[in-house]
Amino acid sequence: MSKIINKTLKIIFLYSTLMCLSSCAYLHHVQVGEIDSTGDNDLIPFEIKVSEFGIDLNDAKSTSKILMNSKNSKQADEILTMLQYFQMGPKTGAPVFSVAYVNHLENKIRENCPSGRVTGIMSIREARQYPVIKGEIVKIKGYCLRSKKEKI
Amino acid sequence: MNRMWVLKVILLFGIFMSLASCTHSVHIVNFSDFRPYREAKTAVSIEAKSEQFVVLGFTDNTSYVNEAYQRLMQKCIDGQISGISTQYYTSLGFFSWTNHIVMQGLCHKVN
Repeated sequence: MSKIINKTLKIIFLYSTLMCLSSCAYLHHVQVGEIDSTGDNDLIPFEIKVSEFGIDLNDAKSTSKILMNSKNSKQADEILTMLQYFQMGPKTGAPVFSVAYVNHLENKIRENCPSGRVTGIMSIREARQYPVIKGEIVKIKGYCLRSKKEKI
Repeated sequence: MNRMWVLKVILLFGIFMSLASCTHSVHIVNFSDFRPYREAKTAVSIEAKSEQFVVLGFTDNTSYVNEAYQRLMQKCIDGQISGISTQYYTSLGFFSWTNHIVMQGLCHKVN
């Protein structure tokens, strides 16, 4: 009976943690370029968002402590520590398995603004924090200049 | 029972190897301005890369950023480069890592 109560409490705890953390965002870096609002132009906003999932091994360790019994969690802890030896180096957010998602973003801007009259570029490097899994995000915001005469 | 144990080991080894495989950490993705304004279809995408291998914090190549910068300039001689994105990321490894600089931009040939 006590086992069932323990398991139920664990599930409730995990669920509430997940719900609390699921909307957490973390800003790593932001940069803004020059803003040109001169002339007879409309500023048409655009946004490009690319992301990749990453795995946080420290989070995995603490989750295994909650979900497993002490013997199994100790084994999981050792395996995860061993994995961390293969992931050494400076880190910003959680490690990802591919960096292709940030490749040639200038082409995506070009698609959004074929006239090439782009201004107010803001690059944001941020992360969405979920338990164990993290969303590593790069967001580009900017404006495409469009002449008011063009609209007519 | 024995067969199950072997399958379990294979599965665990597979998970371990996939997690231990090359992982990366993206630090910064910056963008320059798109000046002078030019029609996007006239531009050509260019790219320059450079890297620095580090073992336990020790390295001999400290000019890798400048190398990428020079390479980018060489890719668009007699032209203008705009919309330059600079990516700085690290490929993580076993007691060592590689820092990468990737510069990508649009080359507009003047003539």
